[in-house]
Amino acid sequence: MKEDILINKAKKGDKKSLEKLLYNNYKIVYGYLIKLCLDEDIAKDITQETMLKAIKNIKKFNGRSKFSTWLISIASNKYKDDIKKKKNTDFLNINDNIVSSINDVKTPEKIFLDKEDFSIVKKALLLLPYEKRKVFILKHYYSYSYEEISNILNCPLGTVRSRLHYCIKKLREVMEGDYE
Amino acid sequence: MNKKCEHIKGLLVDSSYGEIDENHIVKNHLKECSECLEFYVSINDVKGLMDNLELNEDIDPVIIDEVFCEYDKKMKFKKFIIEYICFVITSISVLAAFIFLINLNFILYFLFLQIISIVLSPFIILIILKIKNINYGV
Repeated sequence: MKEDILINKAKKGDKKSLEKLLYNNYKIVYGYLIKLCLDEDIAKDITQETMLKAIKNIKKFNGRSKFSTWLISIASNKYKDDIKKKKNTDFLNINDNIVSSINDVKTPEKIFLDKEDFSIVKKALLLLPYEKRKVFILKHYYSYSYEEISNILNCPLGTVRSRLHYCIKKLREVMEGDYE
Repeated sequence: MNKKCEHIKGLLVDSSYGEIDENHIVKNHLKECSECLEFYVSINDVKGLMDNLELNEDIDPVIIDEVFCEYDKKMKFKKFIIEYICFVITSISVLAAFIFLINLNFILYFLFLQIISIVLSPFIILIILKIKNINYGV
């Protein structure tokens, strides 16, 4: 059944249609969140909160974007709330540890040839501030356009562009840092 | 780094992510500027590196059922709160009506009802709460 038909039915209170919609999209939401926070437990919790909010607010969904895009938008806000709750302290500590561990790595071979250990990619992602990380993830892994990301994150298009540029530069610095 | 290089680097990022088409200005600049060419190569390196992100993205679909259960629980609790508030308002209204009638010297007629409402109402409320809690599995 097409997504728009399911949405219309779900809006009218059809629980099975809403259930089907969520089943079709929960993996996308979880995939996005786990890339964003790199923590399975946090990602699962926020996925649940996102789904719960989607159930509550299905009638407010205007249908201008894809359902998955709407869910990602909710998930982004939920993650932001989660960060606010933790007041960034945990993340700052993590970042300090990551910076020191990245500096310990001396050779590029460790990054590129040791294909069994991709943790450097996770560390590089965590080095990006979370607002900028969101943009990078949406662009790099989900190929959303600047305009779509701007709508999802509710920020100007120019900000999306500058955040992506920042991420590329930052990730390049991380790579170059390892080369030296 | 001059402004033109900065501008070109921005365009290179846009172009590498398919936001704009490759254009001659950028291509010609890359032929002349080694720094921007290096940046262009490094964008692909960064993208290649970040493609190696491997995460366990498997999640049990039970999560959806859990969410619906939680939603149902919340809705039932909300309904219970509304019903409880309605009950309290009704009780207060009845009590107020009795007090009003007492003031009008109808005390003998309503004495018995007053005793029931004032003395027994806390027990009735407790019984109702208990039944509701059992129903909602609290």
